[in-house]
Amino acid sequence: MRILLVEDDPLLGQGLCTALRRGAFAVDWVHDGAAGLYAIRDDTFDLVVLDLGLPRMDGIDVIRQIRASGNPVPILVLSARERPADRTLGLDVGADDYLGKPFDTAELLARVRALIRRSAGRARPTLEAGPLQLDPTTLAASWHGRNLDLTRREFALLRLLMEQRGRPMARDAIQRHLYGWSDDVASNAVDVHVHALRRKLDPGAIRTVRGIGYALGDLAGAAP
Amino acid sequence: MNSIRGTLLLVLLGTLGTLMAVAGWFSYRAGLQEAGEMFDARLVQSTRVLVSLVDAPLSELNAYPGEPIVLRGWHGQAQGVGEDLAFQDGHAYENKLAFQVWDARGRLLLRSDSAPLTPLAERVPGYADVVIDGARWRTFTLRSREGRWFQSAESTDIRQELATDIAGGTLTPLVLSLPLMALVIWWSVALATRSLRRLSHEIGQRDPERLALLDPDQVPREAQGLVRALNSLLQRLDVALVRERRFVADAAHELRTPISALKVHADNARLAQDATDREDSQRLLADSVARVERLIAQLLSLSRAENVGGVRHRTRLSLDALVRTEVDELRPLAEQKQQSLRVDLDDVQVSGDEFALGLLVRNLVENAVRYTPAGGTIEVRVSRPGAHAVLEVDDSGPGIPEADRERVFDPFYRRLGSGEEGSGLGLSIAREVLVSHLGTIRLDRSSRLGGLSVHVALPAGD
Repeated sequence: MRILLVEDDPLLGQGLCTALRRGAFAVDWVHDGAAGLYAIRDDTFDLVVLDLGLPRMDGIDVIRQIRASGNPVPILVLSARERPADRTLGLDVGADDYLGKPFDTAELLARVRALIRRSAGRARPTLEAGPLQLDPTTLAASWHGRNLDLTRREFALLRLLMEQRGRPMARDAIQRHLYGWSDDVASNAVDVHVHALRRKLDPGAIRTVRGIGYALGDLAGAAP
Repeated sequence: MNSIRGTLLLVLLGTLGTLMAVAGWFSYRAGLQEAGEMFDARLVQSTRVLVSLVDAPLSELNAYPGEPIVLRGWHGQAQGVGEDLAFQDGHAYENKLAFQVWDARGRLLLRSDSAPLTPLAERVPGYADVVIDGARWRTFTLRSREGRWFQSAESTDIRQELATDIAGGTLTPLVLSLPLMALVIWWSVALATRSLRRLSHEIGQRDPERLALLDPDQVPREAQGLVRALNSLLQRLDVALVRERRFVADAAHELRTPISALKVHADNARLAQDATDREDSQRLLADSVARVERLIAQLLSLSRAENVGGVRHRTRLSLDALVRTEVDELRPLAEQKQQSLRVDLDDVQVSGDEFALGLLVRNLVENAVRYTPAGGTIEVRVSRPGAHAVLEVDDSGPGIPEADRERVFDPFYRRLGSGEEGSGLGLSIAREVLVSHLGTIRLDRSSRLGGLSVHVALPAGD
């Protein structure tokens, strides 16, 4: 799950990056509205966290242009403009959620999770596939009721594949969803994580789709 | 002179009283003059009548009678005026008239009983004013053809009494009108100031949220200037109030992002999974605290700079010493950025508030240090080319494009891409200080260093 953060304040931006990464999200951070718009056009994100009072292009115009281009990416507005009229405007031009500053970090993360859940068309807050359970809130994973000790990136990969419900995903698409621009990515990084997960769960938990990439295996009858 | 009513009463009644006193005195003088002429004429007439009546019969006396013949007058007791003094057999004032007839050898032949035995006056023909037994008399002396001296006299009391009566008659109604006058003044002041009382009631009912203007047509013309002055004050108050409210709203808005950063870093530090992450978050948290601190300090500075408008704290001070102090404070920051911070200070005096001018200098120099990249140069000069003290701060930084040179003075306006964490208040503070010190500020491209040149002119203090 990859999030684009558009925030011009350096101190707040750094803090938000850390907080979002703690939630096992890959974060890309741009400092002005125009850069935000370019990033959304040229790359894929699962969510945009957008400030409104931005240099070069106001956040409201950014939302308008994203929606005008037909892009349905979930947008969470994070702004110091917190009067009801401001919130109404933000939501009406196409934002999916609106959080006024100063905000609570836990609430921001909860809203991010909720938006991603909704955009995936999922009803339950936890992800389940056979004996595999994932709780995005606590970042806890269990296999046949046994707690799994996963790294943040492994958790993110598993969550990504579970959201696809068995549909295969290309390796570089997986990589784009797991890593931000600034992350140092080895060429076989995805393969390394897949390998580690197979070892921790079951060799068939993730199947290789030849010529495409990976998909979640059929876990219904998997052995503990 | 605090009460219109008191002033009017004092001035009007005082003037009237003085006028009456002067009128009374002139009237008394005129009465005395007219009565004198009339009584003088009557004195001559009665002397002549006496001569024509007694001169011939006296010539028939062959020998001196030894004793003067005495003519007796009315000797009753009476008091009052006019008819109260007149009786069938005489008049109370008869003793105020007297006459004597002397023969050529100086013997008294005839006298009224009101006349003494000594001559009423020297035996010289004509009028004389004499004092007999402490009383003042007017006399007329006439010598008959037979050589006798006829002397008539009249007490001057009568003339004075007449003159006093005339003056009194003129003044009495006027003096009696004074209390009436006072009442009229009292009442007319109350009438004229009724609209003023209504106005003060209206002002008293005002609340600071509703600074509507007063209607000058509701008060007398004389008070319209006051109402217009009040209206102008109300307008300025309204502007100040709107500005104050906007400032508070802006300040609250500006604090939202820094406080958000504080909260996020505090959460990050608490939830960090390893020591490195925790230390990073703690460092960022400290930076965020420092930023909020600085923003609040700047807000207080701006509010203080706006409030030094008066001349309360104004002293004569040395601009170069002030600049030297502030530059020394900022030198560590410049050294940290390996900047060259140069000063060129002439001895210049200004008059102003030391705190406010210190803020001005600090903000300008701090801006230069902050926005000039590492390794750059900043020059601070103080000079006095003419009637003004001039402070110039030049730097080798990126400068400010011409289009932005007005907007940068707006509170909380931050230029984009400066990469610096300013509050957006520095130049607002500088301008507020200069407004209250009648100074000017101008931004330019520095011809010496290529960056920004800030030119400040203040009235010199000597």
